[in-house]
Amino acid sequence: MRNVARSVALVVVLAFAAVEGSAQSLYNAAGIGLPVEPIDGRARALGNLGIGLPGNALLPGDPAAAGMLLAPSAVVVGQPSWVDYEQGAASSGSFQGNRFPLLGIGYPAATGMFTFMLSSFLDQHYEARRSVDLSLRDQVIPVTDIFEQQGSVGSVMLGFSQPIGETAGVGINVGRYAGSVLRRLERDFTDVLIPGELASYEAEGNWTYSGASVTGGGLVDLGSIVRLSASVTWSSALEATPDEDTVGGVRSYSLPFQYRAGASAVLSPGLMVTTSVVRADWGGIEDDILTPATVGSTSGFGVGFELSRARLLGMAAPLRFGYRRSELPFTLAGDVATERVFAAGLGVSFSETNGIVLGGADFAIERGRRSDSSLTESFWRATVSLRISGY
Amino acid sequence: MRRYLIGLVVGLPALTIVACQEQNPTAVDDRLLPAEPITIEIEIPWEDFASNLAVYGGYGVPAEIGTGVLAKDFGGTLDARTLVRFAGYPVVEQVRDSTGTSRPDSSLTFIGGRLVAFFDTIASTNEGPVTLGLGATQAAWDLRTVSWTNAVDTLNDERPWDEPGAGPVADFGTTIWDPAAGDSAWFVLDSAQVASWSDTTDASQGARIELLTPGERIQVLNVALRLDTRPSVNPDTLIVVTAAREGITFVYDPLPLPPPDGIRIGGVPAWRTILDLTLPNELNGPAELCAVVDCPISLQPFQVNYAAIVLKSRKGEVAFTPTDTVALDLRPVLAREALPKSPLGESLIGLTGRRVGPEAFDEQAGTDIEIPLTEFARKLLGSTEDGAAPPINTLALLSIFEPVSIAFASFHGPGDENAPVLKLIITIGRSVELP
Repeated sequence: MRNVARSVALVVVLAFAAVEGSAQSLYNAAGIGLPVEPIDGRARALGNLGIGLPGNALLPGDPAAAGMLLAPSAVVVGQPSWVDYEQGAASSGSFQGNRFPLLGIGYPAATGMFTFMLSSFLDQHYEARRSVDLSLRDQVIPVTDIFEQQGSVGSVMLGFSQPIGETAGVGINVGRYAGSVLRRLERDFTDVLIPGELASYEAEGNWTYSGASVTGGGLVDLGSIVRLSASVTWSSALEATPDEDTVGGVRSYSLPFQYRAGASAVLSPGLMVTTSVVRADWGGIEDDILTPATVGSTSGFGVGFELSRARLLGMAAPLRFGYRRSELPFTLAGDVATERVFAAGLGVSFSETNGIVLGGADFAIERGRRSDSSLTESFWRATVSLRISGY
Repeated sequence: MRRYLIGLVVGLPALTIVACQEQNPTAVDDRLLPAEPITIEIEIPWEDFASNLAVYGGYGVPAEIGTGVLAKDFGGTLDARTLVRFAGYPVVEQVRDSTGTSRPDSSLTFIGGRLVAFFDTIASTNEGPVTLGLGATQAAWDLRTVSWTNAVDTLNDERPWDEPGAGPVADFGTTIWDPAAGDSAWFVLDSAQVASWSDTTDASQGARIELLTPGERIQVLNVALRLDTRPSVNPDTLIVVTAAREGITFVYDPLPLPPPDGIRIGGVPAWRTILDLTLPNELNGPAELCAVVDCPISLQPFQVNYAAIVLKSRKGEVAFTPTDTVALDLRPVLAREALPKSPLGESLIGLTGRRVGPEAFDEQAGTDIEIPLTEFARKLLGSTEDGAAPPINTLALLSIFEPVSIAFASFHGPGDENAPVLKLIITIGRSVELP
């Protein structure tokens, strides 16, 4: 019980630390941002897209999986990453940051499991600079334009999962998109030498996002060997409402249906393989975007395997390996950007009673690459998820 | 071991997350920024930004400066004399007696002395030796209100000098100051002359220094009275003590009249120039701006990067031309209806002011002097928004210290091509929009 209490305390601390996500890619600048999948450490390590894994899980994209939970549960996911980028021959660099893509709670009631989840959806943080030569006072004066965008879109979801017998289940998540974005352009005159200081030019706009989503899905276990899952997400338009100091009216962005499917199979005792696919057609948003960005439909797949009998220092510590490839909905170049990731990880069970994991953690490390014809990012991304269960 | 493993698996990732420093990805890619704003410099003529120009004098008196001025027919007009009043002479001095023991002596006998004048060699106009005259004033005079014509000019008490220019005086002799030999000159005094300044209750007590060489103006930094005294405990010894000074001032003629045109700043009593500032809320030019945005455009505070009043210096009255750097200040007038006694707000320039060299008022007359007021201009533009309090738009141009010198700065006023202008550097861009 003390372990459970410690785990709860840790989850609470991390949840409060997860106040703000941050930038993890320059692709945040394309279109309306970079989609961020709310996936836990186990799925990450398996190259999975968040659906079709055996057992139980609190995953927004697999609402039926929550119905397999046997006790009240919670999960929190943290994700630091380190990115090196190269844009053309002249521009390269690196950056790093954290994000907290998922916080989920499930509680059994009636005949199923109610869920509450906070999840990430779009990451929009980025900064860009431009050098400009001004003709002032009969001389050429260099100044710098600094553009900063701080924003993200997340989702607050309430859901219910209903197991059907012991081998099937259905679930639904009803969500509301929330978030905001600040866009600020500053022309910095710091280096201009004239009597008195030149005040910077600063123009900015603030918008608040809103929208709704519904995800429905189901799963079926074929014996204790195979699990099949599928889900679909419908989203209303994502509306951006300016605050009173911001010029312009409400903007609306069409969001696509998202289709997911996944399957897992236990090939032999201690060896499980999994695969998953996702597809979303973002083409409908093209007319809603004013700035040039390539918009495309996205599809992705992931494969992986788990050595579930692996042990580490006397503890069960399943080892996981995976690969995934997915396309990004927006790019800065004329072609489609893709993300390829190799992943590995392990899971640890801190406390377990009667087959119910009271406290555990899943850790994944990914080495990936995002690229189109103009921008390449190589990254290390770590994911740690802590999960607790108990009455 | 299990506990260690749990700690390792949980602690390390948690520590990694907490310790991972946030860094925004920064791109050098024009496509990722909004359209480039345009930054231009425009000049607004006097008629479009200023009005109600007025010049007020009378702030402060020469005695507040703490220095003196000597002039004779300088610039063909200016005469100035320095007046000094001394406090009581020392009554006790520590003296070494014939046995070599140091002890106080309260029976000092003053047998003579020297009045030493120290000069500002940079601010003084002479390059060669000049002759100075010293005299003792004969009529009661008031340190704060004394002028060329009046010895006293207080409320209900106006007493003219018998002879304009703080005269007549008892002649105490002359001396020569050669700047090549040093920055000071002195007059030798006998015991009777020293004794004549010892009575501090005598309102006529004072020394008057005048310049006898015409065509120059000299800045007196300090005047000291050194007294030779013979102590009673050791009559064979001569020691020198310094008498304290009660005050120093100067009188001059003629007093400058308010300028019929133009801008005057500084001097003593100090001059201030007042004007009302109006910023255009709308711009309909220049052409390079309207080529980028749709004119007319509404000018917003955040679009103003720089604002400055540009004054063009000119030669003023030769007698009062600055010979040293002038520090200009710009402050808002808080109660225009109370002028010329309105309180002023905080400086818009800063502690050091806008420093202008003396050459700008002589051989380099016509120099543009910019006095920045960017923040004031931004606030003035912002105050036109609905519900804002009525703006303070009256400004005072003055010297950073008042008074600081007999010389004042002169600038062209409105009415010709040399009139002041308002220089603006503005940046106009399209509003920041969502992609």
